[in-house]
Amino acid sequence: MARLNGKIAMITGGAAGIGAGVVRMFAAEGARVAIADIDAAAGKALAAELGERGIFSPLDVTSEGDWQRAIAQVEEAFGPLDILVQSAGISRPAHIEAASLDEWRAHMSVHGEGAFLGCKYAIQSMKKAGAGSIVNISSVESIRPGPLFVCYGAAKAAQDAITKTVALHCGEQGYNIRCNSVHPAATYTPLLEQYLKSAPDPAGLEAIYAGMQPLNRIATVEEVAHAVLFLASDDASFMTGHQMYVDGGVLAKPYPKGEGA
Amino acid sequence: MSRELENKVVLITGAASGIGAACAELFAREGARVGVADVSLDAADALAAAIREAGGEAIGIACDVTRGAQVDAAVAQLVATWGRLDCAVNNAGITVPLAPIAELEEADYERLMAVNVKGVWLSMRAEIRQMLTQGGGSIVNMASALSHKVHPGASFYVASKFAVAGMTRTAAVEYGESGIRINGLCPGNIRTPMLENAVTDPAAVAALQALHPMNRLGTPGEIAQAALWLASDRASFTTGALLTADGGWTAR
Repeated sequence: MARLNGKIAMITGGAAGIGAGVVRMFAAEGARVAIADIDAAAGKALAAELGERGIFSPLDVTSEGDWQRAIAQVEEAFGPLDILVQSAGISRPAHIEAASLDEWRAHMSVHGEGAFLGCKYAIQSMKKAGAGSIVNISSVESIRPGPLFVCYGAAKAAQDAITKTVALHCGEQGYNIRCNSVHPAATYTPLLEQYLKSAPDPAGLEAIYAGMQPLNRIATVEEVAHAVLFLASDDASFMTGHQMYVDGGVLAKPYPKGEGA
Repeated sequence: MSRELENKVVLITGAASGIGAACAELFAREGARVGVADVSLDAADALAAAIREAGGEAIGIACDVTRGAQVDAAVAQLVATWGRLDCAVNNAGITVPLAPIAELEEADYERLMAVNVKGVWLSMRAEIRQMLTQGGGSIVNMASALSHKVHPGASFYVASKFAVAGMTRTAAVEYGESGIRINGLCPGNIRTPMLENAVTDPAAVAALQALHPMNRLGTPGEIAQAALWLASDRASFTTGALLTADGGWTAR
């Protein structure tokens, strides 16, 4: 399949999890991909898998200098950006009484400042290409945050506001740059697997997570990546400012109670 | 090149024109066997013939979605022809002349609600019953950006599309573990015969365009691509969602 033939994409948080799944799928669809991450070892290893199609860009998404350098690197290696996927993120669940101010600031910084800087610098590059698509990985927790996600939910909600306002701005300016978000629920990533392993009853917790979705299972990274691919591609040419749920139906049903929610 | 809906059997209502026709043509190019269902059998047959001419598989089916017996018969005809029903796009829908709510007519209410709401329910009922015997399937209900926003003068249409969104999400939760995915698709204003017949004044069309941050109407092909995504296995974790393709209209 060649849905992204000739396209140049940058994936933040591309070294692992959903980001890495997107990297692999995009490369398989013909894109040249810059894997932008703070984890150089994993990022370089993945870039090596892609051969000529992949490069690694060191990127701390909260650093404006890193963004400038990373975009310049991609432009020099491949050309102006067609696609930016922002998958970099952290998630350390804690409710309001247990969470520290430092945790709040860390979550808001990575997701809020990261999305702000990413959109700002991606637009600059995409204007040179004449068109572009930004896909911000959000979460069901931005729409309906559970008590354990006071920091994460708020940070993702801030990211969502950026997604929408950027979509409006680019539309109104006539830039032909679209901006959308994808909202996964529980997804099999190293982050989730780590969280499950550290639970007193991993199988029980996994069943709880699966049971939150009407589909009664947890998503694969590929299932989320397919939504990202669609939004990134020209097939979604009339889609902007959309919040695309890849959530197994969890947001359609009454709020789940209990551990992990 | 692998095709997204190879050998899948698909029912599309309101398929003879506009968005429905774009879906029928695209799905057929992607390998589907398409039931082109429409209230006009002549138009349905003509499109089905054109699809076959282009190398696809399609049959025309007469179907008034306000009649449960006709919808049931449409599903039965596909099962008799091709043995199963894998996907459906419940697209049949109408609009009525615009007027403030206190100036609207009872007959228009009944006609619009029958097609846009009852028709979607009757379609889902027949499709789900068949899909339950197969262990799964994928249903796409044509909702609208007006499932989220209002348009003065169009209170019946707005109400009907809010209703479609509600039924879609409820059904998705009900049938979550059955293997049947049920989603809504929310187009913005799309350049279709229905729109061009309803809005003839160029200034009014320009006003509709301006509702969208992208400052244009969408094309039926753009909506068909979104319907294809939802119907296909690429959307395997997506159910109860309302996918919006509206040039940014509802982001405002």
